[in-house]
Amino acid sequence: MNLKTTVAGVEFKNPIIAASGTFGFGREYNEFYDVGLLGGISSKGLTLEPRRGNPPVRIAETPSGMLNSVGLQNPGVEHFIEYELPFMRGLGTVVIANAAGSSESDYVRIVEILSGADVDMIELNISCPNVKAGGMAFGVAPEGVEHIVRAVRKACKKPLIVKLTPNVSNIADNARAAERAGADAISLINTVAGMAVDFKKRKPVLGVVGGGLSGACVKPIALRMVHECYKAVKIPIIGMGGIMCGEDAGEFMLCGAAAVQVGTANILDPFAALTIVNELTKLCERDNISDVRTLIGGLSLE
Amino acid sequence: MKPIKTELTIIANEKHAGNIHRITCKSDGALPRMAAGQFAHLKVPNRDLRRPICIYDNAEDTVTFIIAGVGAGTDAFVSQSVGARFDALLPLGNGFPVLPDKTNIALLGGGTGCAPLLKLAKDNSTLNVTALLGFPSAAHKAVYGDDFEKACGRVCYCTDDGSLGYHGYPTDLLTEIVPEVLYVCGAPGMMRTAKEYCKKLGVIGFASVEQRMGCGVGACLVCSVKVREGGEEKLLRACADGPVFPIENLVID
Repeated sequence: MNLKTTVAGVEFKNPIIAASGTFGFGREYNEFYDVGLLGGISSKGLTLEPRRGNPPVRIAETPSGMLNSVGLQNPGVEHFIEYELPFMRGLGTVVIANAAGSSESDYVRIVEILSGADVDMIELNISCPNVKAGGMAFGVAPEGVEHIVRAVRKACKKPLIVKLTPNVSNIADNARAAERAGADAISLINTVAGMAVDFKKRKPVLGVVGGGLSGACVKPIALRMVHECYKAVKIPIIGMGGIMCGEDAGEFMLCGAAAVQVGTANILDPFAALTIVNELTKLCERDNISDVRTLIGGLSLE
Repeated sequence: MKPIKTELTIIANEKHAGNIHRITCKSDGALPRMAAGQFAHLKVPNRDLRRPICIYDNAEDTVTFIIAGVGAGTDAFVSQSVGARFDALLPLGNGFPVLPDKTNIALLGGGTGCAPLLKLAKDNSTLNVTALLGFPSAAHKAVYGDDFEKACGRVCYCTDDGSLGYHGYPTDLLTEIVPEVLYVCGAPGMMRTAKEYCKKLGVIGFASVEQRMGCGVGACLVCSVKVREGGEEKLLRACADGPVFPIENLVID
């Protein structure tokens, strides 16, 4: 049985990728299992300079999900290349560098730097809801998406994935904008903007009031958006949003995802991504699917 | 001591005052070694996020937790009956360092904050240990039985209502002792007083802190703790950089 899939010319041993921000640079989960068994890892969101992130509290439990407001805490792209990338490179899995910024020049510069490093792909984060000027300013209007992706495209020597936010009026328009501007793939969805309130304290739970919602509760939103984008663009889609089991991964593929990312599930269970690989394998065996790629866009609409 | 994920079965669940439970669990196989101050990340029935709970006591295939039901998640956890099974990641985090040439130590704990301190005394029987432990009342101390008396050379219980031992805060008694190392876990007020005490008297101090946690293993960066290192304020991870930090470095808001 074939579990391999391809996104923008890059081959993945299976369609399960650890999602940015939930997996660090792979070190922590590699203590529990060989994370090289995953299709790929998308790094913690990187910025040109180290970022301290938002003040605590940064997490809130919500029905079937969670909110986070980490705020792109990361050691900076240079530190990543020197100290984290060699480790990631040695894992034997596809290495995706997730890059964020707060200005056009930041984005162009970080993509230039990452283009000179040994990463397989760059995932452009123009959709972080937790940083004031942190990307989402570029990611909301289709014109903003097209503008920033075009600027980055010129500097980018690696396959370019553009990560889209669901906090928009029509995500298909943004997917088309990314495609027009030269994206090689899109990934969606980033977290859904939300907040949690502590009634007893009369205060928001999160230190910065708002955060990004993820987990099983966002899966229906994400599935529909992947489906909408699949109809709108020809470039491959990496689907994500509340994938908790192998069947969830299969559902995203049916909606058009060529690969998927697993995020919040890792936070709930360190073995989640590997378990999902195994479940997807069993699912294919059970349904006599000889090539996992036949699932992509296989949704029957009759 | 690599962390593992393991199934645990509750074999005893005693409820005490303040909805504080003493829950002992058994593992199907042998459990890894655990250090004082390390924690377990426990799956809660019908909740997504795990809850980080310090390891109170452990043996080859059992582990005991002292857990207060303080919210929907911990309430759901402590409501489980004997026989209930759940999975746990353990042991996680960095425990209390035991310094080789320092034999006079003191434990300063408040309420459920006493829990991570017991193992320090129990696992290091050659140390000369004084424990200053504070509770709202005698009933809130009952969850610990006489565990501290058995493990420590000297124990001073302190209660807010005077129903047991000294009538007042355990921090009031700090001036009565001069340990080489002070180990602390309690409310911010206790931590602040202990930090000032350590600075003033040149006592080495370590404190275990609490923060809302996500993955528990260092990846998700949500359980930030403010720490001052080299003149610079940093946000470190309670789960993987802590939960124990040198008390002089903690920024206590």
